[in-house]
Amino acid sequence: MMTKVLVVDDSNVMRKVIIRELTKLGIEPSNITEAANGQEACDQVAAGKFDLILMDWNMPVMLGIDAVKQIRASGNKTPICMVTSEAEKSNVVLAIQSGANNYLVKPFVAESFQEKLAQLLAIPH
Amino acid sequence: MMMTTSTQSQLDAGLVNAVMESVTSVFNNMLQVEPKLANVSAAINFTPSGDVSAIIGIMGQGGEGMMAISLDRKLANKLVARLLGVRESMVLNEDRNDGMGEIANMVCGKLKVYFSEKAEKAYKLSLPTVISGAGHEVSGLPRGIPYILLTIGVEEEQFHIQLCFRGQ
Repeated sequence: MMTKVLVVDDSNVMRKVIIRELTKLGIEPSNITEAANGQEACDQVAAGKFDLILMDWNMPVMLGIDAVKQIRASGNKTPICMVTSEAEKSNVVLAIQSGANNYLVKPFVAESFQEKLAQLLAIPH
Repeated sequence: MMMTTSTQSQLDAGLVNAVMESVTSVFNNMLQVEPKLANVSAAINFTPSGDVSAIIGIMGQGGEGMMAISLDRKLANKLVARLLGVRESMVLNEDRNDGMGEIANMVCGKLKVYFSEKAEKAYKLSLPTVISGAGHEVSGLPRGIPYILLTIGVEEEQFHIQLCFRGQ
């Protein structure tokens, strides 16, 4: 599957968990790019094309929410799903207002996460 | 085990229950294990136990505090292996620390909702700090204020959560 996904999380372990679920949906590991903070995410988005961006919120260097704002300010319309432990409604509202298309709160059940990913990528699940 | 007795209520039963709900949610959903509250007690200062401590600060308009998960290396390996879906022998040292930081982050993320809703004020979390090594010590944490110490059992082993919060 040629779907390209950018996984942004400062936790290497959490990136592995997310990538595991993406590969279960048939996405090739070679089509998954990792970024460890918001700035790296912006750099990756500027350098390549993705079908989906999965974005953590709390990260060093640049927060995920600031990366979302910067990506949208650049005119990029790639779907962005926040994947974060920030669970307050005010944060969900802020993320959507800033340009995120979807919001998933950690912790999540693997099956629900896969369903959400499949929905976002329009993959039969 | 829910906090109900008058003695336990001095330790803020609502907070203890909120911690356990957070821990249970993270452990059930991400690790597929059932944590059980074994004991609750009070302390004056943070005292690390085990080989690994994952610490997160909570700060906001309503006050500030911290939460730490302390546990033995063996249990940390087991939990991170479950998070990753791999055998314990495949957990690297860096993954163990990173994974415990992420587990603490998820627990504290849910706990932050409790604080925010209770005080109707916004809070932020620090990035996790993970310290490892037998007999490790942690400096720079709040001292002289009450800590709640939860002992939690998981699959025949135990770990500790220590929490303090100072309202404004």
